[in-house]
Amino acid sequence: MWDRVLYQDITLWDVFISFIIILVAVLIGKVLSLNIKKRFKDIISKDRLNTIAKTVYYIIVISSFIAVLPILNINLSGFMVAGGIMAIVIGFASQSIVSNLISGVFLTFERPLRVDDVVSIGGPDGTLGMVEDIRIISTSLRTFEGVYVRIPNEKVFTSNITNFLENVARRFEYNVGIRYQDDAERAYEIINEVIEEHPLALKNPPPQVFVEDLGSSAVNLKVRVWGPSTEWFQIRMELLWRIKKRLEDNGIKIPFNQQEVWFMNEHEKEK
Amino acid sequence: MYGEHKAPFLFERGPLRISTEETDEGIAYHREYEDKILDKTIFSKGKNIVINPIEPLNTPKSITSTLLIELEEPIVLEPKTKRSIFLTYPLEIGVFVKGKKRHLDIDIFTLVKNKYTLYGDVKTGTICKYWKSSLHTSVPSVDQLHEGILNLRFYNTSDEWVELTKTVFNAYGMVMFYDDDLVSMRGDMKISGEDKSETRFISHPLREDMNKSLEVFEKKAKHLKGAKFIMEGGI
Repeated sequence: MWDRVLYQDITLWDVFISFIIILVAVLIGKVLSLNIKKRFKDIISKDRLNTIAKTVYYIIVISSFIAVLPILNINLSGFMVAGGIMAIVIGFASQSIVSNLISGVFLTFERPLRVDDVVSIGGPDGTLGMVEDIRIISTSLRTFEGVYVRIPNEKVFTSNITNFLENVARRFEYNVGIRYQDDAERAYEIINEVIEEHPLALKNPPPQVFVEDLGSSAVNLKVRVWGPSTEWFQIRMELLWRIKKRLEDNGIKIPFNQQEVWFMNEHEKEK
Repeated sequence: MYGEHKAPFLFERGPLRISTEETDEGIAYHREYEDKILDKTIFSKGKNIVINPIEPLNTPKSITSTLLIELEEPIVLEPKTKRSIFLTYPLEIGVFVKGKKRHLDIDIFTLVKNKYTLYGDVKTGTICKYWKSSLHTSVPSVDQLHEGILNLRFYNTSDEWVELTKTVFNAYGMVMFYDDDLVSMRGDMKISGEDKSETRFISHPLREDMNKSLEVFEKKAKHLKGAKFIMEGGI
């Protein structure tokens, strides 16, 4: 059965051997890339490790394809003429795929985003989430609602990308209103104490607390705090309530909106 | 408190209380500090627990591997000078269960206040654990559950006068030693200009017969990540 000729002098055995070679290469590639990921996970960043593992995998698999060509009696020079015509046809048909592929290559070199970065793609109303994978054709994100989003690389490359983890630290701010009769300087001290007590609120750059404007119902303080980019949201969630409680414990109240209303008849009576 | 202990045992020091009890399957671990309580059940044949100081970069979260020590008062150094001083640094305490081949950290805590800071600028800088230290010319007396002693040798190899206000170290090279009343480590700082220096730890105890602490930061990464830290954002 194995001697059965399929085409030219290629037997079923040749095809079987070729299939086995490719299968073994795929297995070796998978095992090797998994081993690379496991062995170097503490040393190399996740995105670089993924790129290295994928490169190793594809080199092995492509090499196996090239290795089986002589067994199957496939001469690459024979493809030259047909290949030219096919290239034009495939080129038109796969324009968007090639565009995504090239964008993927540029994304790999320019590195505006990496695996595990928190990014927004497509401006302020774009897709916000954590980068799960950057593949050859597409990039996948996991939004904070836990939704998987796949974006073609061409769209990623040509869109505005906001990377929230590109810098090691970032700033956030609060507006805190206090009553006109409260001492703003005492409020500064209390707020600075609360920020100082939070371990993740950075010592440097120092926090800023100042009167931003004299509002209709309150003296409005601006509070600016720096935190590590990976932790800023946790700090932001925790600090505001602590500030509010500490201010109230020290007799500084956050006022409600208030308005003085004068009735004309009462005004005239007074006159 | 530091060293190897066989369960059951009990340590009490102010608000800190650590206890272990023998169970049929292993050890019941209990730790109380202020309002925080931790209980763990350990299934293990051995009953040995190691408590020792570890790299102070794990609590409240392990977000960096660098420690920045700011000096309470700056040091001014003339060109081509070598000096040695003693600084304090914050301690974290690691509790390990001793296995046949490897140890596993079951609890990490600190009795000192944590604070983080940024060294360098927002784009290229490094988030560091922050500590402010006073300056000593001999080994100061500190509470060994709270603070350790860093013997810092610094060399001004440049031709300029320099002012030293801080030092930054990489935890991957941190080697700590302890005995009954002292936790210590030794470090070198080579200053090569007004804004640039290189720091590294030295793996030698401050005194003889000190015990080497078990480390939490992985040793295998030390060789590849490097145990040095290049300070390019000012000294």
